[in-house]
Amino acid sequence: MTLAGPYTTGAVLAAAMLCAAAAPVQSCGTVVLPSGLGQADPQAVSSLNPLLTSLVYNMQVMQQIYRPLVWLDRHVNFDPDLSLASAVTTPDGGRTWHFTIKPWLWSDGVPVTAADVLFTFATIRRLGPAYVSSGIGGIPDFITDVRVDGRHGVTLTLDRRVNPDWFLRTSLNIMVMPEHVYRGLTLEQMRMRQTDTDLFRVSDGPFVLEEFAVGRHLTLVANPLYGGTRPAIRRLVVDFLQGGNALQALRAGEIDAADVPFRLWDLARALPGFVTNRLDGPFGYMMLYLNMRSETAPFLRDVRVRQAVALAIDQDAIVALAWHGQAGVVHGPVPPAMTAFLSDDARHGYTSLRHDPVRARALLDDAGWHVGGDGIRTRNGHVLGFSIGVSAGAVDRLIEFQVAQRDLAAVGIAVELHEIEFNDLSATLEGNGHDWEGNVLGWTISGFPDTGQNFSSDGSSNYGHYEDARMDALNRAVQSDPGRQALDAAQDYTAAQQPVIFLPDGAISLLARPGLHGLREMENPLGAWSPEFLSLSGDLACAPMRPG
Amino acid sequence: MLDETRSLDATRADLPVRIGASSILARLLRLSGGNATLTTGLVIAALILLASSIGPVLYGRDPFALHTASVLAAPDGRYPFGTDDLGRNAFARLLVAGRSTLYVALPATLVAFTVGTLYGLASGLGPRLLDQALMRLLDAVLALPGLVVLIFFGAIVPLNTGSLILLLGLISWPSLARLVRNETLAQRDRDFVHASRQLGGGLAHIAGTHLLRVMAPVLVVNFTFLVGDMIFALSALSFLGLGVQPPHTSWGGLLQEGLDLVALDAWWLIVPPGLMIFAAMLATSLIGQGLLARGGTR
Amino acid sequence: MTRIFWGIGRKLGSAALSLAILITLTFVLVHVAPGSPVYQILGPKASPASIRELNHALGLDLPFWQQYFRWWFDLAHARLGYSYSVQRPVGSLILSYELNTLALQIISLVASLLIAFALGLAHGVHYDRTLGRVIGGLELALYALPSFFSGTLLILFFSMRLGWFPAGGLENLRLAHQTIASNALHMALPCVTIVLLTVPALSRYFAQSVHEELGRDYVRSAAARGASPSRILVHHVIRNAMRPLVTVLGLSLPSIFAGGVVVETVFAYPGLGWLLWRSALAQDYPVLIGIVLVIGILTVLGNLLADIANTLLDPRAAYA
Repeated sequence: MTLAGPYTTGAVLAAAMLCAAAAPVQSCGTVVLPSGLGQADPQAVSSLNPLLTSLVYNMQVMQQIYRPLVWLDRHVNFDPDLSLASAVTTPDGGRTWHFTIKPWLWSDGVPVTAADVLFTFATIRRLGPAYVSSGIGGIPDFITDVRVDGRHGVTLTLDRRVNPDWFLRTSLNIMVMPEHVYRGLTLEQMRMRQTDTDLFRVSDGPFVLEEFAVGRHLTLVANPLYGGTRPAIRRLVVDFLQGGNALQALRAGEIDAADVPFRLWDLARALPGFVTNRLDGPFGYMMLYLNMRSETAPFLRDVRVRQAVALAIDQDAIVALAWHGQAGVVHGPVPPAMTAFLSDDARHGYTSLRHDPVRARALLDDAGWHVGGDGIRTRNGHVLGFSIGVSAGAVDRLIEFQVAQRDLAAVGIAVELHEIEFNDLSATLEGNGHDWEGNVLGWTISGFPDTGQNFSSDGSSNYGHYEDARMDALNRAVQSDPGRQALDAAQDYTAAQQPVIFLPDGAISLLARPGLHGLREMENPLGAWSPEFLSLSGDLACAPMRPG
Repeated sequence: MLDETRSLDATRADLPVRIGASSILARLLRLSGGNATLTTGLVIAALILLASSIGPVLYGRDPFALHTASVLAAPDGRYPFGTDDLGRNAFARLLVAGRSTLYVALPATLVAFTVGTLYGLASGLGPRLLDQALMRLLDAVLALPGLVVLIFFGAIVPLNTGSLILLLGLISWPSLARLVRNETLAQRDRDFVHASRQLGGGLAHIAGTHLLRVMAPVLVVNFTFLVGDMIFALSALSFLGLGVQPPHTSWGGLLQEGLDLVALDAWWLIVPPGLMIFAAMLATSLIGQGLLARGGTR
Repeated sequence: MTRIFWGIGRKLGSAALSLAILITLTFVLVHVAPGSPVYQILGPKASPASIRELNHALGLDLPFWQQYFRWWFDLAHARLGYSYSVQRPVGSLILSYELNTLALQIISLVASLLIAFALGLAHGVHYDRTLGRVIGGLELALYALPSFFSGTLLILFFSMRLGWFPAGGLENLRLAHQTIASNALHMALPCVTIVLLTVPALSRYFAQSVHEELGRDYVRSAAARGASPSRILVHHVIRNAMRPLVTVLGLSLPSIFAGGVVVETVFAYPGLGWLLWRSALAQDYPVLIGIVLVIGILTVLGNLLADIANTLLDPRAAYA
């Protein structure tokens, strides 16, 4: 009788294992990926309405369902194969824009027409400030008229002439929504039905939404009516893995690929039975936002202090220690991986900003800060020190800033690091700016690398409250002047001013099951997924289905 | 400061006790009146207290220093409990984690103990109406599982040592309060209370001198159990990411970090913090049981 | 009978009071706490205008007492609000997770009861002998074993090292249709963890009552009358010793639920406890409040069921 306990447990386990052996191991052509793969740790997809969300988790999935008018390839150029528009022209150099829509079908058989594009723009205007990217790229403010031009033509008229390179890459990555599904919905209904499977079943992208288990996972199946390159896989399950760990799930066989943290690269690579994939990019960096409005650290407004900070930090050491060599030194607003957009100085790595503690000290001396007894500089009794908030749990980032902290102390700047929850960080940044000194934000460029959003006086992400008339003028020029010069001038000026301190971000590597191919092709450094390029071989391609 | 060999030696967890271990053991045995359960519990508790209080000083290694060259290293001579994913010394982290766990759990126990005792006394000695009201309020606090309430408030309150102590302390007193109240009701009609009242003793005086003295054995046992509950609650909360916040850590937080790295077989980050929580809870449980057996009380 | 109703009424009353206190406190604290869920909804590149707009649409820009009364008003109309982090009405969200929790808890509870019964009986019968002491020691040790430790160890060995069980979730997402077998496989480790958590207290309590019953006069007189030991055990002792077990079971329901939070978190099991944890981390207050309401109600129901079961097992209680 006393043995009944262990026996019962044993019986339960044995029964469970027997059941497991009898179950089909997997079904053919299915790939299970964690949400955010290649970009961020998995989190729940929380909305499929492209007008109401810009979270990367949501974007990666929505773009499989709604093709963007303009899809940007990994060189940030218009990709006519993956876009809904087969051609985009601007006959007058940036004022009127003409689109030709492909004669595709929605997955319910209804043709995709110019009317859908018209409807999408009308909805954006109707949403007003509720449109998630309201004001970014001049949408919808610059638009004076959207006109249907035959069944598959759309003409967009703007109130000004814009830099075509900029507008094409910033403003037109708009996912077109099926009018016949959304017609008649109020804004409130759209907001309340952001995860309602029924609303998102109609697709013109490579995949159709099959199931959406809110908070847990969603299933996409290949769209048989897709007009572009059909996916080679049958199903794509996006697992949100909430609270679960991607590497653990990969090893337990639940998912097929996972991001590998840099610091664990060597160890993860040593796990038997997996292959590694290194991705392009990154088209991003870390920004140490310095608050120009801070009353406790008014010296941050002094460009010499900011330059000294940039010069004092040894980015090579950061790349070695925090990113294990998988990142590049960065000093300006265009990430080094976006080679086509770099100015000459940027391409040479801004030699004037290279790690140089001697020059940093000279700049600080020049600004009137002198070294005190404890090695930290002071001026009129004020200490040259400030605090930096780093997103809690972002371990690699924390290492990066611990190196920076050490380097800054070496030139006499005291820095205090504190971890802060993402919500609090966002709220702090969005606030009036009187209660913080420095905050770190990772930034990924998702189109044209212009800096107006971050550094213009009225930029929506100008969290540091940086105000500079020349910067504003240069940023306006990027949006209006055709050609390369405007961007070159703006990025060089930004690098010289260091309105934020630019710091490296690592390139992401994936660990995947052998037999899953095309991850590199699928992952666009701008953050988008193209899972139609995934393919399978061996066991994953098709395990024989057992009955039952 | 310790030299290299000495401090390496200190890493065998028994060192802090070896200093006069025999005398401590002897004293414990005398204290526990030969009760084996109680002795075992007291020994484990003493070991944990020593490791967590003077352990970090004796060991002397920086728990925050990053050794990026030895990330996630298995235990060896240099790192007796290995390193974590940032190359931090896991043994040094375990010791300071014990300290921050106890720094929160012990004061929180005091808070809960004080609130619970006072509440119970007030309810038991006060007028009937007050007793009724206090007991209804107590039912209300008990209506939800403590951990659920902790998670609930852990999400809302900004977490630091002070707020954690208050949070844990203010949520964990009700069962003790009920016990004290029932004890008080049972004792209030006894002769000595009446005598004291006739001699002009105020309620507070009666509570302070007589009742508490009579209830002392019960209170001591429950205090012990409360310590265990508190260590468990804090560890669970920290494991869930709602307890001691980084860069500080606790046993529960270490275990969570270990679970995050379970895919890489880093057992050395899982077993030690888990065993520490286990040992701490076992110790309080043994002490409590031992005291019960020895005192013959409930 | 009236006493029972009075007891039920009192329990409901204190539960309602408890929930009202919690909800009120929540509104005060949420209002004081910094940050807004809006950033998590819209993403870091959202425009300030859209952030203001959403704050307004969600009523987050109202004074807190208005939000407070609005919440009660909505509750009166059976509306629990809308989740910030996953964009779904709280009611349907909670329901979908609660079913998973109930499945796991019921299976685990049945297993726990069977094992606790066997273990406790052996412990009780051999109370002061070696076997009893060994079981007692085992119970004490298991009692001190936190579920997040045992669960993590199970993952380490059975999921990572041996690869026998999945490390988390409830479904094998590769399958087009979920099978009971695949769900059972996902539930195995969480189930074992809960059993390890629940058994020691139950079996120890049961052992104590068995031991006490064995010492009673009626057992001795039955033995004197020549009844066989097994007959005495089955007909008298077990039946009488079961009653307190039911009570303790009812009383421990809240802690079983709370234990469930930790176990579900360790195994990323999509149940109510896991949802509570996720919502806490995401500061998704409508979901948090909703779950606390549901757990409060379930706890009260659990206690009531225990009372009723007790009444059925003990005829004397029914006449009282």
